[in-house]
Amino acid sequence: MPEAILDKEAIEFMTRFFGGTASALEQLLFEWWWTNHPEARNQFPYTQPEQHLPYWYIFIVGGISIGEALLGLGIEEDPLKLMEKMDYRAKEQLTEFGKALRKFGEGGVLYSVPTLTHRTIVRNTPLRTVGGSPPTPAGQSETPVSGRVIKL
Amino acid sequence: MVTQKETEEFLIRLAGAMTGGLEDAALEANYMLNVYPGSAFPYTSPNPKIIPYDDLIVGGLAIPPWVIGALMEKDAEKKGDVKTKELGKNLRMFGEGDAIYALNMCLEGQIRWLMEPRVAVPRVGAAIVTQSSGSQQKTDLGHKITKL
Repeated sequence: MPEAILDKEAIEFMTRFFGGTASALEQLLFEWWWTNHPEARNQFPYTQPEQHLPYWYIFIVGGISIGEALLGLGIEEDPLKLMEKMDYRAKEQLTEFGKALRKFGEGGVLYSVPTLTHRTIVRNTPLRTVGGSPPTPAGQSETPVSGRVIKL
Repeated sequence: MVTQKETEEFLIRLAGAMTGGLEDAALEANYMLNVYPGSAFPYTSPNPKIIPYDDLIVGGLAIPPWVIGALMEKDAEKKGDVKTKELGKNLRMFGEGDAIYALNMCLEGQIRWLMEPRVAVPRVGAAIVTQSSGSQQKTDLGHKITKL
């Protein structure tokens, strides 16, 4: 494999990886805000669209990365032909920027979509009571749940 | 112009990332269903300041397909085996997707883990206040010796 292609591939990987990192940091920012601002709890975006789904902020993080990818794709493809009047060099540079932005957004999607799936699965997993009592057999009254086990 | 090939490559990467997400979800679901809180491997931490092993395992599982795929691709290129090269490339991209999810998940988890109030940050010459799971607080008069 020629070195030039390897370098290009490495740069593309790094662009995607940092896109994923940006999404992870956005998510962290929302969680930091939730921890440090108790008044924001139970308010948008710390509410759920539906009880089986994760909080809105997880969707927002995913939406931002999808937006980045679509914006990049729009710049790259230029469906409205807005770049037609530009000179060749500027057009080329803008197309490259659009391509990089699309890859950055792709990285964000690669982080946020599995995160959304992961959170949805965990949210819908039956909870065990604190203290580790075995699950109650069907037909018997359940042990009251004293707290939710959350692994951070 | 986004080609059909690029779309396929993105889908392979997404499949890799989803695998990472599902591994993570499976381990966490197992924790919630079967394991007593904080008692057994892989739900323990190698160090109080490091995220639990289950997250590190998900991060580690992303590396083999990535490395194996890259080596397969390189080896097949030397031998001129186009089919194996394509397989190696796909495996590498699958691993890349998994790595993008898993390594960022570990990074996010690690920062969050360090931001947790129960993790006391030792300071030289200062009393360390540790906050246990309850409302109890105790003063630890231990000192950290730093080599200057």
